[in-house]
Amino acid sequence: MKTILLLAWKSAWSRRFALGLTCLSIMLSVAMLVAVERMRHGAHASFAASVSGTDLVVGPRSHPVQLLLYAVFHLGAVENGMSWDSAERIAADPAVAWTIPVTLGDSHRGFPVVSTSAAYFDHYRYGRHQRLAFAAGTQFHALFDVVLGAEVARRLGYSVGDRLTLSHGLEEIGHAGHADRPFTVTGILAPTGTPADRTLHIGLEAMQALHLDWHGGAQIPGVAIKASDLAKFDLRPTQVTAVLVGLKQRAAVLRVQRLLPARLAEPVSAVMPGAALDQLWRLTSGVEGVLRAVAALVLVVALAGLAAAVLAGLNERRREMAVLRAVGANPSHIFLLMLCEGLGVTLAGSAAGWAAVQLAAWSIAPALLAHFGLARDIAAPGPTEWLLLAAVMAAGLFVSIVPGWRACRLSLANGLAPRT
Amino acid sequence: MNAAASTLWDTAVAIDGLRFGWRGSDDACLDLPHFSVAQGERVFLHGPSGSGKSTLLAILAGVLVPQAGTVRIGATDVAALPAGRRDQFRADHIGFLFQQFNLLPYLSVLENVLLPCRFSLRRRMRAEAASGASARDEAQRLLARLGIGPELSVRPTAQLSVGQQQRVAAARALIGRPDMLIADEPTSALDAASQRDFLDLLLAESTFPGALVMVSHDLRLAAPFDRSVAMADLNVARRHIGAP
Repeated sequence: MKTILLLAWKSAWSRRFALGLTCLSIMLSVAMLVAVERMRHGAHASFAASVSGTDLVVGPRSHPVQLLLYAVFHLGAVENGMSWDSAERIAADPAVAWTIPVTLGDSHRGFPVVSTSAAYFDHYRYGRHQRLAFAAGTQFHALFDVVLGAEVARRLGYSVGDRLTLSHGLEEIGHAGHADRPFTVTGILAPTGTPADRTLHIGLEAMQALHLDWHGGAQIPGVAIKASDLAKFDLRPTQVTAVLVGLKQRAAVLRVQRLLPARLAEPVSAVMPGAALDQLWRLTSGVEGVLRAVAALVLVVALAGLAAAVLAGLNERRREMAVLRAVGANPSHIFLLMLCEGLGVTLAGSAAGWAAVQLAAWSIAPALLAHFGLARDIAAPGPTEWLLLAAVMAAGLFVSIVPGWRACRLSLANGLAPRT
Repeated sequence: MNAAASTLWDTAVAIDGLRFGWRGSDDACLDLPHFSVAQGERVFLHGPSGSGKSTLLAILAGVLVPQAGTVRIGATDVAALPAGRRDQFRADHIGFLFQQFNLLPYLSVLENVLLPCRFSLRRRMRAEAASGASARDEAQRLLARLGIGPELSVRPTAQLSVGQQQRVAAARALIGRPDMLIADEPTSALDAASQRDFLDLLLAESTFPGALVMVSHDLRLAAPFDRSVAMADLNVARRHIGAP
C-alpha cells in the first residue's frame, strides 16, 4: 500500500499540470458549495442573534413573519398599531420580566427610526445574550435626544452632539419632514450585527411630540406647536407598533403566548421569534435550494471532469501499467493506483476549496464584525459543512472507480504488450 | 511421476499441451505441444512478427493464462495458479525486459531498478543478501556493472539515451536474482553496435543458475545463446503466419 501511494503520488506529480487544473475546478466548486452553506448558515444565525434575548413579540394581529420582520428587522410594514393600554397591560403581567415598546414609521436618510423606552438599552439582548454597549455617549434623556446605531453613525459621519432632523415615513427623500424639530445625538451604539446598527433610536415621547400637530400622514395646516409649549401636552404614546417581551421564566413561553392575547381588549398576535424565523426559512428554502443545487451541479461537472481527465490519461499510461504488471503488480494494485489518484485530487481540491472559503472568511471577518457583526457566524464552519465535504469525498471515490475499473480491465486484457 | 519429479530440478521451463487464443477469436494463435528450457540455459527464440512470441512470453510470465496446458516454471504450474498468486509468483521469480519504454518516467533510475523489491519481499531479501547491505547498494552495483554510474542513477529516466534506458531495465530485471529472465526484443530499439554491447552485458550478468529466454526476429543475435529455437517449430497453430 505504501508503494502504491508513493507511485500514485509520483505519477500524479509528473502530470501535475493537467491534474492541477482538475484540482482547481474541484476547488472552485467546493468553495462555491461551502460558501453557499456558510452564507445560509450565517444569515440564519445572524437573524436568530437579533432576537436571541426576546421571548415574545406582541403586536397588532398579523402574520407572525410579517410582525417579526417589521418590529425587529424593520422590513415590510404592519398596517395598524397596538394601543398603549395593551402595552401597559402586557408589562403588568406577572409572568413578564420586561417589555420594550417599539414604534416605527419615521426615518432619517433611509435609516429607520425606532422610538422606544429606556428599557431598550437595559433589556435588549443579542447574540449570546450580549447587552447593547455604547461606543460613545449615553442613552437619550431629553425629549429630542437620539441614539444612533453604529452603521448609521459611520455611514453618515455623525458624532455625539451633532444635530439632525427626521423625515415622516420611510422614503429615502421624504418631502414631508420634521425639519422643525431637530434632534441631538447623545449616544452611538457599538456594532452588534443586528438591525440596531442601522437604526436611530428616540424616546416614545419624542415620537408623540413629533406628531402632535400631524394628522393622517401630513402636518395639519396652520397648526404649529412651539417647542416651548410641548411640555403642556400629554406626551404619553397612544399607540405602539409592537412590544418585545422578556419572560421571568423562559419555559412559560407557550403558556404566556396562549393566555396573554386573551387578557387584552384588542386582537393581537404574540409571536415566538424562533418559530417565526423557522417559518421565514421555510419560505426562503426554495431559493436556498436553488443556490445549493447550482453549486452541486458545478461540483458534478468538476467531478465528471476529473473522471474524464483520469480516463483520458489511461491511454498514455498503458505502458506504465504494463511495466508495473511486469514487475509484479496485480490488477488490484492498478485499480488502487487509479483510485488513489482520483481520491487524492478530490481531497486536495476539497481541502483547498474549504481553505479558500475559510481564508476569505477570516480576512473579511474584521470588516464584517465592524459593519455587520457577522464575523462569528461566517468564520466558524457550519454544522452541515463536514457532512457536505464527506459527501464530496464519497462522490470523488465513486467517480474514481470508473477509471480504476477500466485500467484494471485494460491491464488484464492486454497482457504485457498493449496494442498502441 | 518419479521420472517427471526428478527432471523438475533441472528443468527451468516445461510447457506441455499449451493452447491459447485471444478472446473473441475461435482459432488458437498458440498451439504448443511441448517446449522446455533447462536450468541455466539461455534460449534464443526467433520468428517473424505475429508468430506468437510476445504472447508466449506473457504466458510464461503468468500475465496471460492459456486455455489449456501446463506451464511449469521450476516446480510451479503458473497456468494453474490463482490470479493473485500468479502475480506474486511473477514478482518473486521473473525478471522481464521490454523492447523499449521499460522505465517509469516519474521515478529516478535507482527507484526504477528497485521497483521489483517493492513488490517482492523475496527479491528484496535476495538483493540485500547479494550486496551484504541494502537493496539500494545492490541496485547501484548492478547499474555500475552495466555501465550506469552513480551520477546517472539519480537522474530522471527521461534524460537517458535509449541504450542507457535498456541497461537500467536490465538492472531492474536482474535485481534480487530472479529464477528466470524473459526478454522481449530488448535490443530492437538500439543501433547495431549497441545491440552487441547490450547483449554481451546482459548475458554476462545473467549468470545465476536460472534460465534466460529472449525473443527476437533478428537471427544475427543468436550466436552467443546456448540454443536457438524457431517459433515455427514450436507453434503448430493453423493460423501461424511464419509456417513453412
